[in-house]
Amino acid sequence: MRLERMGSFHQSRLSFMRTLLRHMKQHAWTFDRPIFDIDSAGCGTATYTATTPERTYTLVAFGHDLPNEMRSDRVIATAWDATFVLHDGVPTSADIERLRANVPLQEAGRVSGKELTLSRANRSQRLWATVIDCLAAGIQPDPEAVARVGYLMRTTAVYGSGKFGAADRQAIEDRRELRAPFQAEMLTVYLIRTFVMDLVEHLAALASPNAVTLDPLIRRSFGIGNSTGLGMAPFLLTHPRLINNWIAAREEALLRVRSVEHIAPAESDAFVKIVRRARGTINAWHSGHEYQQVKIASLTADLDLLETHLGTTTFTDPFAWDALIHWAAQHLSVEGQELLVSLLLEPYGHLVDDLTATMHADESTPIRLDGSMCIRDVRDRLGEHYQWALDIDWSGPEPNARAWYVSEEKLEPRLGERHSEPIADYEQPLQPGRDAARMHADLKRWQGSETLDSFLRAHPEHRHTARRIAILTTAPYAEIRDNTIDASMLPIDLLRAKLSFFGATHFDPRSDRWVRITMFQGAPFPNELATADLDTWAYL
Amino acid sequence: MDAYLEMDWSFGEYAALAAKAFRGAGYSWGLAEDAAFAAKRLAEFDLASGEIIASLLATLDGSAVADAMPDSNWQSGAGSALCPICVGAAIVDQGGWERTDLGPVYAPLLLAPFLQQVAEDLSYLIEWSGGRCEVTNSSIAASTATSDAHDSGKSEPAMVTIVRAPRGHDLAPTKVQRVSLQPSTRATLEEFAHRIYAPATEQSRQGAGE
Repeated sequence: MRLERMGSFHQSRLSFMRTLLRHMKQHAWTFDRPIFDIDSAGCGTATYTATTPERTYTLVAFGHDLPNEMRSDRVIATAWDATFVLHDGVPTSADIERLRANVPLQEAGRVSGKELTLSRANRSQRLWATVIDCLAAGIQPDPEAVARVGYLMRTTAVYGSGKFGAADRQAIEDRRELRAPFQAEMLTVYLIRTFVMDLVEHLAALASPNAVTLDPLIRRSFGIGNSTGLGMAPFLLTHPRLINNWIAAREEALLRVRSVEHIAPAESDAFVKIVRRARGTINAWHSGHEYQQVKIASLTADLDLLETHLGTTTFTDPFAWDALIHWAAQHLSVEGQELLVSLLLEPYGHLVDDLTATMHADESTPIRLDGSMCIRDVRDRLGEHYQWALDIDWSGPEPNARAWYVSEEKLEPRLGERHSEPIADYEQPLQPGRDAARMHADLKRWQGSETLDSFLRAHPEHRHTARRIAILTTAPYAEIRDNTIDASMLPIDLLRAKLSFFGATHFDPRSDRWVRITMFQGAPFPNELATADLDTWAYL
Repeated sequence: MDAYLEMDWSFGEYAALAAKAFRGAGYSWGLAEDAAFAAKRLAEFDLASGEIIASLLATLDGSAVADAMPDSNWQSGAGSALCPICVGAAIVDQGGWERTDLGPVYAPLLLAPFLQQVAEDLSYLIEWSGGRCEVTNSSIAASTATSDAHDSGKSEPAMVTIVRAPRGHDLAPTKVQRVSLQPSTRATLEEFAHRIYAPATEQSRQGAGE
């Protein structure tokens, strides 16, 4: 698992947004909007309920009128156009008043164990007023302008799992609808999208008696934006067991498809169609960042090659998908190879969708170490999993160029330059390769017959690395096999890996360390869910 | 802000604060993770976890963690009392506890979450001058005096006996869904946690990515 490859992942049918939509349709969830009390400036309160066969969840939305100069994507902003929580159940009026006093403050407020997530969003400066003006004038917005931006509001954080007082993951993880990772967060964003679309139509209607509502096709082409920075990057390093399960599910899904010996004509037809639709998605993918522009260009060229190759492929040959993967390894860029993996899963929901049930992890207890293990075996295991790190010359400035730390000022993860900033003493444990190399150096000074527990009493600073080695014994994809503090490391590769598992599209890096994305673009709205095709919505 | 909401914490945020506080007090990242787990587990059984760890950190502040680390004879090489996190982690590493006497050890109740990890189908009875606690793989049941949130001496070092016994009748201690964290306890923990944050510089302000 290398960073370059992780930074080229695409959404797939295993992604958490798509898992949520399939679950909602399968279990016939119903939706309602009990409160929608918003004035012409966008200020007020709205609630959206999602009811499962067992219980109800409610998005509580607060609209605000934010002056332009206060609108910021920074996670450290203090005011937003709209703020949200996902409430567990149906909130009482007392709950709503409690939330009104806290939710607009976001990190500076508190929520309770009755809330599952906390979030906020800002209007797209490029599109918000334009769309309302169009609708108020009785016309539809320009579909091309809509496609270029892709959303009307952009979230900057969706906090869950106990943050700021919200319910712990362990309190809800036994519910079948929340068992897969990030389902509460995805539900929050899905309902935010519905709120935002209702809001623009409502504001247009208040502005003019001649206003129209959005054409359903244009309406669907709006997703919800998201701006993600370094704060998310450490997650992939601090949840090795969970990340292993995500990657393992994807690998197993690919293996199952590659193991298909005889491809049914309906399966090859579905694949060819989804490749064509993927081209539409790639063509609509714009980025102002050179790094991504190069990747999109190579991806476009890859699609040309793939379509030409498919024209000469005999799908009736045994194991034709396996042959296609071998061909891709020779002819496509890493971006193209990873897109192909996602596309190959599309016709095979019956083979792979059950793997979403394996993508959660119990990380509530630290993994136990076998203290009786002899140092010889510890060294062998370390070498087995971290040879890539032992091959790096850590004495040079480049491999050690960066340090992850948390700043006193904003309490947010940051990545600094170790050799020019006074941060080394505050380094977070987010460089498993360097730490493994340090442990290896200390292990060399011990006798092979001595034991791990003796070693760790003398060297407690290696305890977290010993734990990672133990995790890797049963979780082979738990570790990113790249140097996360190298001068050339790109944090956006970490962000993209995680966001692709969410189901995000249109990665648009704004620097090497923060990225804008689109979520749920093309997804059916709650009122369309019962009859929607959930296999193709993620492709334009 | 509502005072109740201020004190009503999720286990996740409490464990995150505990880990940072132990790291801030000089524990290694790995031991800080063990400490956070132990703090969270005690909190699940409503055992004044926050007060216990805040008191422990305040007591040990200024001394080296290594001095409170047990050697192979379960004594401190520096002749001081033992840290329950270091002892607990070592007990888990060796897969169980075969001896009886231990100590002196600070805040002995913090041993319970570690013994729980190795209890399997047995139980452990921990006793010291200030309290008593019975541990199985699914429960931690402490005597009332032991879990009294207002007991100021909870981190005092004590000689401890830990006896392994067949698991008897099922214990049914109270389990709670949230952590109640007193403002003064939270302040102490945040003070330790604050030590892991780098002072802001102009360069660091640019490091966030925008």
